Amino acid sequence: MPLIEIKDLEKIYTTDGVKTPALEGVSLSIEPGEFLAIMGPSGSGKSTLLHILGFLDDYTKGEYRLDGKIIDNYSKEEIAQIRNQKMGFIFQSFNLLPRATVFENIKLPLIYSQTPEKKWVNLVIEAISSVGLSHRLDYEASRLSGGEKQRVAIARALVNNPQVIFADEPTGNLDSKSGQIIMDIIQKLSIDQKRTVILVTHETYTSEYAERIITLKDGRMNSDRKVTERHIAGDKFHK
Amino acid sequence: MSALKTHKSRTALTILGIVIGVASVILVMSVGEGAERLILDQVQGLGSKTIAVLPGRQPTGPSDFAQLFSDSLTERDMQLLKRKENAPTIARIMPVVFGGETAFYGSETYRLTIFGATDLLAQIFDLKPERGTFLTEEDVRNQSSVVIIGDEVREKLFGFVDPIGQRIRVKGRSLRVIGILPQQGTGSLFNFDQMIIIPYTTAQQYIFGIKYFHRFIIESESEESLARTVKDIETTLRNSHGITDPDKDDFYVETSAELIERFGVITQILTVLLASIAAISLLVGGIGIMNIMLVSVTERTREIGLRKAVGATDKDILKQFLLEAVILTIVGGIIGILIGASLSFMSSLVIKYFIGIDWVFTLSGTAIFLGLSISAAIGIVFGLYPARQASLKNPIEALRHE
Repeated sequence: MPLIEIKDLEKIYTTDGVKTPALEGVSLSIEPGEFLAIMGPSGSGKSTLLHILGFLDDYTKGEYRLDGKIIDNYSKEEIAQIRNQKMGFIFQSFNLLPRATVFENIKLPLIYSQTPEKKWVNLVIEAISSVGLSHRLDYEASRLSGGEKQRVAIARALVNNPQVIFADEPTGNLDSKSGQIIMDIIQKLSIDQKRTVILVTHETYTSEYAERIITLKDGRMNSDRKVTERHIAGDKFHK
Repeated sequence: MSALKTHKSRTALTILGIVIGVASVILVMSVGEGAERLILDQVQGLGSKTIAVLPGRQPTGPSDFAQLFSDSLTERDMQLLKRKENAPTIARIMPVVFGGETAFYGSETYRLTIFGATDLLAQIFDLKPERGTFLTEEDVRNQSSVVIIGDEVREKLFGFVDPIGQRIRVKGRSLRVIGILPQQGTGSLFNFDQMIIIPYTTAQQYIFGIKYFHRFIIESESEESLARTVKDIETTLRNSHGITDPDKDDFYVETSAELIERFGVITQILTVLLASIAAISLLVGGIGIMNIMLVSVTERTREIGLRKAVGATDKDILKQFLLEAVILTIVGGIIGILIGASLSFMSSLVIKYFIGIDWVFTLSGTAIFLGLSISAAIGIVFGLYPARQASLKNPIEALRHE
């Protein structure tokens, strides 16, 4: 059974009575453990699709099944819980709490989980180690470099051990070297940890870390292909 | 919470309104309770066997006070009340007349209150002349022109002269000073410092030119017989005045218990009134809180979006912002209570040492509880709207917010 299955998904934004379609009839299914990249020029609807898949936005028409269940049937609380337990988000602009420490930032999803408080410290330490920033745990987030910030954001996304990672242009605000470190980490989440990863990017190079790439154009599915020559973590190949 | 710490001066200014509001509520309540206690102590000093009979109708509104000086209490009433068959439980009865007059001694003049009574006054009000003697039964019977003067009267009219045996003039009548009362202080409910005491007969005949009384002060034999005494007084006076309908009474009877209650109500009304005025600043403070919370919600839109993205429910966000507002106002409330308490303590010292009233500093648990709950309530009421605004934000729009 696919983890994620969408059929004829439509998203229409209405501003002042004017309807602007962002997605039109997109169908897609994603298997557990798959690493999928969504590509397309800006305005193609790729971020909108990611947000809908991540329960951050709602769709206008169509059907979305997660684990076989249509998401219209989830209550608001259940949706928040799924975001908390099953999904991890990585954003282009990191979205860390600037005045809070690295530790506090990573802890954030645990606050909204059922995890007992005494386990929090270990979970945070585990998450920060997996991105190699254990020595920065007490730093204020605003003092970190861009690459470090994104690594903290990844640790935050991982702390609840989610099944799916959503990454929205994770390297968009980074230099190429930091970008590559981030992509290496994200790829490991897929290969070593068997998590499902859905990545939005407009860079062909970045998208080729994935095993499958779909492209959107004007809100419609343009192509869906397997990556033949995949970049593998540790590759010295720079763009 | 980190957001509150980040904008320290903004936060401090915001809670200032709450601080001032709670401080003034505490101050007003503390001073009000002090005043109430002071008055009650005084009234209770009268003893619970004491009854006052007043002319006119019991005041139920401002217009009724005009009736206070009606002339319904007469010599005949007193004679009837003195008869054992009418009111067997009356232990003693004292008629009272009083009024403001100007007294002269040499070139000195002083505006004072004349209190016309009998020798019983000394026992009922526990008065003892500092020097000289008090009124006697003979003085009353003979309409003697003798006077006992209060401390301030002595000071104003005589200065360093020994007043005993001297004569003062009131309304053309020359009165011989036979006694001086010790200083009582302005805190006394019946302040004899600015009074002179003369036989009521003298006052009626030579000073006021009246035949009626302003009061009867009556003592019942015991506390148990108080109700009986009140009833007997009412029956006797109604018979004497030919009244059948109690609603048409031209007098009313007041026990010290009722007096306590009445004064209690008056001070409570005053306290509530002043506290309500203070509460206005709490309202203003609350609006300040709401304003700052709205600003904070807007500034932290992205944070709200992020929290929702990582699993916060609407309720979680609502709780977070509500809690911040309540913490703000409770911190303000605690500071306000501390300031209000120190201000009332200082004012109690000022009252004690500069005005000379035996004032007790009181800070009741009620006031503290009220201060805390009011500030928490303000946090909830004025924090709810911003918190709700925050909780309803769409996560993805919130994350996009610049």
